[in-house]
Amino acid sequence: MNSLTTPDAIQIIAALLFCIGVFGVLSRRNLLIILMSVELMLNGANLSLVGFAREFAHLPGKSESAQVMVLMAMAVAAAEVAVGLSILIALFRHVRSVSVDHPQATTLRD
Amino acid sequence: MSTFLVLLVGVLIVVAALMTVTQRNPIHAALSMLIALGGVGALMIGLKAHFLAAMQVLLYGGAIMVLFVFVIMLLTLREEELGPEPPPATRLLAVVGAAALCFILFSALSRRSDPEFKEPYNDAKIAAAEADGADMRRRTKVYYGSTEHFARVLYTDYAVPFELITVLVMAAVAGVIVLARRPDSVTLEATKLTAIPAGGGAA
Amino acid sequence: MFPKETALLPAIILVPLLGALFNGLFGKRLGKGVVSTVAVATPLIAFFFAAAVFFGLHAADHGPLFSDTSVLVLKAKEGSTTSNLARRLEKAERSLAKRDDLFAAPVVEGKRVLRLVGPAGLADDVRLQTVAQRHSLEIAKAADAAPRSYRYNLGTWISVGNFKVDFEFVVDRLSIILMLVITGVGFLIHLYSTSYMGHEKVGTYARYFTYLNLFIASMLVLVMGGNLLLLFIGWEGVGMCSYLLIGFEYEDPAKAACGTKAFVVNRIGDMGVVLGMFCLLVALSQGGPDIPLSLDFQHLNMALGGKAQAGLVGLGCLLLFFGCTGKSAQIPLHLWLPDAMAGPTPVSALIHAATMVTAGIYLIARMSPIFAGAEVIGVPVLGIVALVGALTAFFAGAAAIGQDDIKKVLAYSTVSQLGYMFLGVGALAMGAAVFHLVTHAFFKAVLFLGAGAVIHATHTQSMRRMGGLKNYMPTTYWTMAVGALALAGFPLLSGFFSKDMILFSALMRAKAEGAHWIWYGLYFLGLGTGFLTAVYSTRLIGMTFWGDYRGGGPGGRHPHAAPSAMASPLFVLGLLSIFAGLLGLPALAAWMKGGAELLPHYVAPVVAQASSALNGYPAPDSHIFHSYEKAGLLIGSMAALCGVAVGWKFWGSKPPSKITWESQVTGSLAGVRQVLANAWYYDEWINKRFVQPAVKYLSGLLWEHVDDNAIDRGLVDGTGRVAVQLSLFTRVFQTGRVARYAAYFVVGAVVILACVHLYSISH
Repeated sequence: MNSLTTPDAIQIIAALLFCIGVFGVLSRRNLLIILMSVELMLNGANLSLVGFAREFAHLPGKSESAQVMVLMAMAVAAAEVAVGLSILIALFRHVRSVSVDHPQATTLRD
Repeated sequence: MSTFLVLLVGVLIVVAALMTVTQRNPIHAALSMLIALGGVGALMIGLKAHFLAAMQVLLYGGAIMVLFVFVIMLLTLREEELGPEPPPATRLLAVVGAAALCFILFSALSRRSDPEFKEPYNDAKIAAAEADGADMRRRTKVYYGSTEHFARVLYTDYAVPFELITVLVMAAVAGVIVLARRPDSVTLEATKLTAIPAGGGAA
Repeated sequence: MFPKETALLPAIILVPLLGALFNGLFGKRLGKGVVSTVAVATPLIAFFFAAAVFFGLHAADHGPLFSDTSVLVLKAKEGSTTSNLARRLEKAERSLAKRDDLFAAPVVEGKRVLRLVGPAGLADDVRLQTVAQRHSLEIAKAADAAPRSYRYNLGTWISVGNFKVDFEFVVDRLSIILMLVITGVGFLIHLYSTSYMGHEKVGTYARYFTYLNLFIASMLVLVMGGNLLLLFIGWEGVGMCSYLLIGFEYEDPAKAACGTKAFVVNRIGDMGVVLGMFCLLVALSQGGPDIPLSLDFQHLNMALGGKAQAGLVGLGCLLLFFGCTGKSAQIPLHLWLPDAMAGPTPVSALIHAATMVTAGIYLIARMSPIFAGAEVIGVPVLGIVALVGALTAFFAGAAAIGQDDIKKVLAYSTVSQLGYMFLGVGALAMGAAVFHLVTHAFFKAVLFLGAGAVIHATHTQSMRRMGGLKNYMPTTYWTMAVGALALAGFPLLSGFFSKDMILFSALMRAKAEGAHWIWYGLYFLGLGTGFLTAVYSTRLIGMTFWGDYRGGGPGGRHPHAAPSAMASPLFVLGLLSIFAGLLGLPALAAWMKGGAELLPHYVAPVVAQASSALNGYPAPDSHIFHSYEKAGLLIGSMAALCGVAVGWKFWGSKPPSKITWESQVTGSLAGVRQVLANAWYYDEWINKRFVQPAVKYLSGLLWEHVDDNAIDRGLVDGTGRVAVQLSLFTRVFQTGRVARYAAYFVVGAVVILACVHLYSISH
């Protein structure tokens, strides 16, 4: 355990978070849960960025650009959730289901 | 922040995330997500990203979670409308996929201990630089990661992305309003979708 | 040194070429008058240019027409050290450079020597001796030099590594003879054609003369080419023109087929030429990596000639000879020539009597230094050449006796006479062969053109329907009679001297080293052929001109004499048939020495001759030589006269008025006649043994398996099938289900990340 430093730990947690999000996107059928899993993925990436920003902060160069990037990502995530949920509501009004397997809902076919 | 604390919070995050993706009830999943994202915020504080931690809690906890809960309540899903659970085959494949991704990421991360990795982490060095504060304070004259530092950086170097984000959020707002409107008779006529068959169709 | 004549070289070729282009493009619009003027003028102009080159050549040799030039060699004295020899030679060369009666060429012969070419007697020249003395060199007189030649280089064609081929025209003594024949006889035939083809439509008329001019141009390229490849261009060109002209009336499928047959058979021979070229190149390259690979004749002859060569060089020569059998209609590829008579008669006269068929002789003469020593599994290639030539001569001569079509008789006669020429070539008597080439051009052309006039008048080609024409067409009669007698070898006409010279050289060859009995046999074969030649020549004249007229073909009730445009070439050629013999009189007496054997001596320095190349060849002054020469003349004359007598007896003295010739030959002779009429059934044999199996197996195979299976079903359909299969495969992935697509995302991301990771690990 003494070889595991904080930056390493942060990265590992971020990777795990991301992969759990991937698992959620692939295995769940409920659109809402899928959206939540996407949020998890985003957070994993954000965490990783913040970790790197902190790690290289003492170096010359703008490591706070990573933090700015994280802020932008958060803003985008918020917008994306809003739009996604509104699409979901619109979809629900039509087919009365939030299942990804619904044939009329999420198939790109005629 | 000590590694032990980080790992502790990390465990919390991972457990909460796992619960998010496995809970059947969307409200349970949403609440678990809240815990996970809150944990991430805690980690951010430990990483001296105070402003971002605040933003994390505000946005994810205050805005996104609220939206999710609103929508879940709005849809008032009954048990049978939740749709069937995926067959075990799909679950297994998803695990495999995620595991593969995880494996690759970990093997990439493991190279951080390689000798030729350029700047190995040095706690003392960081502490010294912080104490000295010469570089950063010379540049920003404020504490790294704080709101003031962030503001100075955001409104000078990154002013353009900031403005663009504003536009993006505006677009999102407009889109939400258009999408979430109750469809009028014309749209209903044009799309001509029938009422739901119970449950999902072919997998 | 000779700028203005050299510039004529490309002009000689360009003039007929431009004539062909002009007539081809504009002839139809401009009318027959313009077409005929242009077409007849071009070979005439070319002839004058060639004559200018001829006189320029002999002037360049600085002396009377046929005097020898000597090769003098400056080299270090015996016993002297050869240090700074090169420098001394250079100094000597510089001081001799100002003399314009000498031509200096440095030659590497072990140690570097300086080679000087000049008139005979220069070895005693005081000034030359002084120069040599000053630089401690000595003069040695070598063999007779190769006389001057004109060279004109249009530029490099191929230059790859060591291999270099230029568009270089080289005109030396051998080429100029042929050029004069081609343009001269060509002009006469063009003149004749204006009348022969006069009744055709303008388009056909123009097309005819286009092809004819093009033929002249190609043939000139052939004889003027300075390297094998350029010669081959002309070779193929004349083959193509031959095809175009034989199949001139292409609307008749039979005639078109004859053209195709000629072309295909020629092509088979061409393959031999190409393979022969390859063999020679490989043989050259075996000399070392620095040897320049050049198909230039001078270079080839120097590198590969003059010594006994087995292996690749022998094989190459044999293959080249195979090509010659195709072009010059010898066994085994002679079968196209009788069928080539389907073309208009002037075409037969030009191409198949005077020029194209002589290309094979020219090729071998050109490369005679190489052929002289070439052997293939112990057998000298020239021996094979002579054997094939003699056999062809005999069998074709026999076949000519059995033909009823006047043109077929002449066709087989041509094959037979070409066999004579190859016999001469094989006996290393190139001069004799070229002499016979020239005389044959004259008398065969007059025979063909006369036959054309006869056909024109009687509207038939079968001699059974002719007869008694001597009263209707006197000029034609007398000129053809002269030509036929020359062909037969009647004493004192041109053919007599040339044929006799060839037979004599075969006889003398028998006296030199190696395989005597074969050469004696070839001599008697040639003699027998002479007899047969006389028989069929007389038969030709007898059936056509003597006795009563048998009616001719449809519309030929009243044969008319030949118009002047047809008669004047006949007249000129007839005269030439008589007097061309003066070019090669045998040196029977001392007073004849100066004017004897003019043509062979003229050509001798440029080709390999038996007298120098063979051991034991009798010297021209020896007693054997003279006695055999006189005997040969006598025997030859007797053979010719006997043949004429036989012909007279059967077809001249009592020509029946009925058409049934079977009454003349009965019983077993009728069977013989049948065989001869079908030319020994050679065509049928080739068809059964080669053509049918080729069609059945080769073309059937190629059609079914290659074209139908591999290309149609494999490539074309296969491409479609592959496309369909691919799409069926990718279709599986397009389910339309978005969640599945998300899974594909992850798969793709994993793959890309893995690649990046592995890449960063390995570098």
